[in-house]
Amino acid sequence: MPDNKSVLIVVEANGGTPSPAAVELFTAAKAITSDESISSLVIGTGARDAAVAISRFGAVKVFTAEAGQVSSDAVAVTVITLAADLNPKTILLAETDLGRDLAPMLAARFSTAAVTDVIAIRTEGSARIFTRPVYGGNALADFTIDTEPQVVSIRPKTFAPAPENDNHTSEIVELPAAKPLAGIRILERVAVKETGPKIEEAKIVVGGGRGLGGPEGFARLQELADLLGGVVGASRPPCDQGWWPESGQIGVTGKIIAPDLYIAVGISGSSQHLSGVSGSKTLVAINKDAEANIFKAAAFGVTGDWKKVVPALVAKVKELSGR
Amino acid sequence: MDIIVLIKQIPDPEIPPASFKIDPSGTKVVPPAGVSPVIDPYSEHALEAGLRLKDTNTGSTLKAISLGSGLNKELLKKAIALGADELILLDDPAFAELDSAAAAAVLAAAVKKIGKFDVILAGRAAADWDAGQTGLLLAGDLGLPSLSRARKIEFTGGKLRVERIVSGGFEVVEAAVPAVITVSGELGKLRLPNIKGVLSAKKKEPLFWKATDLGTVAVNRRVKLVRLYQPVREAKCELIPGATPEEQGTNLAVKLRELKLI
Ligand SMILES: Cc1cc2nc3c(=O)[nH]c(=O)nc-3n(C[C@H](O)[C@H](O)[C@H](O)COP(=O)(O)OP(=O)(O)OC[C@H]3O[C@@H](n4cnc5c(N)ncnc54)[C@H](O)[C@@H]3O)c2cc1C
Repeated sequence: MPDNKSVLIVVEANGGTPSPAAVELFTAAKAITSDESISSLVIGTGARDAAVAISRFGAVKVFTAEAGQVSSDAVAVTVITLAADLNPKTILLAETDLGRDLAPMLAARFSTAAVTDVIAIRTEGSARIFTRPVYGGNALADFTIDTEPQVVSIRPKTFAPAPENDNHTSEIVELPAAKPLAGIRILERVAVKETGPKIEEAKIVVGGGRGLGGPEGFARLQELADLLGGVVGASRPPCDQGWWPESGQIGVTGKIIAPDLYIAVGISGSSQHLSGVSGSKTLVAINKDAEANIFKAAAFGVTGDWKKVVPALVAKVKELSGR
Repeated sequence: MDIIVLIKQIPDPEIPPASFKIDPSGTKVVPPAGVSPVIDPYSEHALEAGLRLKDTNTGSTLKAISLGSGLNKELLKKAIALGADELILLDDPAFAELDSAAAAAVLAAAVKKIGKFDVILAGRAAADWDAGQTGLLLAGDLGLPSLSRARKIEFTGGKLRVERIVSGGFEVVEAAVPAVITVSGELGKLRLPNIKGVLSAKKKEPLFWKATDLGTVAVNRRVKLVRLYQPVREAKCELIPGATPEEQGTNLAVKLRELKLI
């Protein structure tokens, strides 16, 4: 029997568009196999249109399944049925709400195993090695999966989107719509409006930590952020204390950010926080403790009391920008 | 209702990064001297969810289960102090270093031994391996429906009503029992024990179950840990000069302008 190298990529479709994280899965797949061994399942709303878009990224066959309300159990049933036919060596998912649920569901169903939140994949000899952060980002772990299918969910934004090839088309096969399992009923979905600009998308982020000592400190950071055209975020303690909204938390359990400039004020630099900011192009730390871990990650540092540093910084920025 | 809560014991995730060490074999974390293990933060939220269900459904029972090798009994007895009727410690050298699938298999065997339950609560992930799989794998092994990332759980009219965190908001879901629910931090902090609880925890001993008490369970790893290592942070921090903090603040602005960052 020839060595099975096939990969099944699960793509979420939202209103006819593939999710951006899904497009990155094709790059991850190409790290371990060739185009000919890739097939894809596009599932969600407007699955067929999304499948046409997806076919430019390289799969031989794209299966589509319409699913009005994407619920993980319904998607799992579709993936399980399809994978039982295709017999893929690896199933790739994005580490999104859906992928996070699907990975263990599929692993249990196939009596195999999943590695979640993967940030790198490589092949060593005949082994595929999956790397993920563990211990809150304090460590990285390399895993192999001994059973098949290997179920792997990939952390968004760690792989670049796959290049598009307009000449590539895939055979598109429609599957019956996904039906939710009995036992669970979604009663409603409630969108919670986040106030203010999104920290994930901002070019400049000013982050405040426990060292700010209270909500007043955040008013000073807001002034700095406004001046720089940036937004304010926080480490976990200020969110726990109610000094800053939960939606502005940065880190493993908060938002992952990748701004051009991140200014961390009164933040010690725990690994849980750093794993959320490691994509920042320039990290500046303001902390009165010269030994603080944040200086290990920072490109520029100021060791001093933020209450004195930040007003001087604000004043000089105003002067330089003629305001 | 009959409630089972899974509580995991982990090394303290809040230790300073400088104290975090990996043993030379490259597969294990060395627990820093003098730092006691803790109950995983998300497990604490799951326990709180269980206690709230017990509070609001008279006649409920709550059993807490922990799994590992060389578990810290005094730490885990916190569950009894807070109101758990039973603490079951699945403690056996064979249970050291399990992967998510093996842990779920052992837990499934324990749940079957318990027999009667309406809901199993677990943390959405544990703060050591951060995999976020055990609860959902357990549901799969037991053939039960699962709901992840709950921030609110109610039991009314024989049904579970759960609010789940989804990106951009939340989802209200109804589920039949029995079911497995993983709990998110938004549910709220674990309560503090009162004197009465502390005294009952002094008196009540946990049940210890070994691998042999669970019949035949497969504890072989399907995921192999090849290597555990620390990420290299290569940033070389340039300190902004200045005789006073104010001067440093001013110089920082100048530097950022020079770099065209502002
Ligand atoms: C499962 C889990 C998940 C977590 N997820 C996250 C997460 O997503 N995001 C996150 O941030 N954390 C997270 N944490 C918490 C994390 O471990 C740390 O506790 C947290 O990041 C510390 O926040 P901090 O740096 O603001 O506070 P501290 O560690 O208390 O640091 C405060 C810093 O402020 C400095 N300081 C004090 N006063 C001044 C002053 N006047 N001027 C200048 N500097 C001053 C001090 O020197 C110190 O370095 C998580 C923890 C766990 C267990």
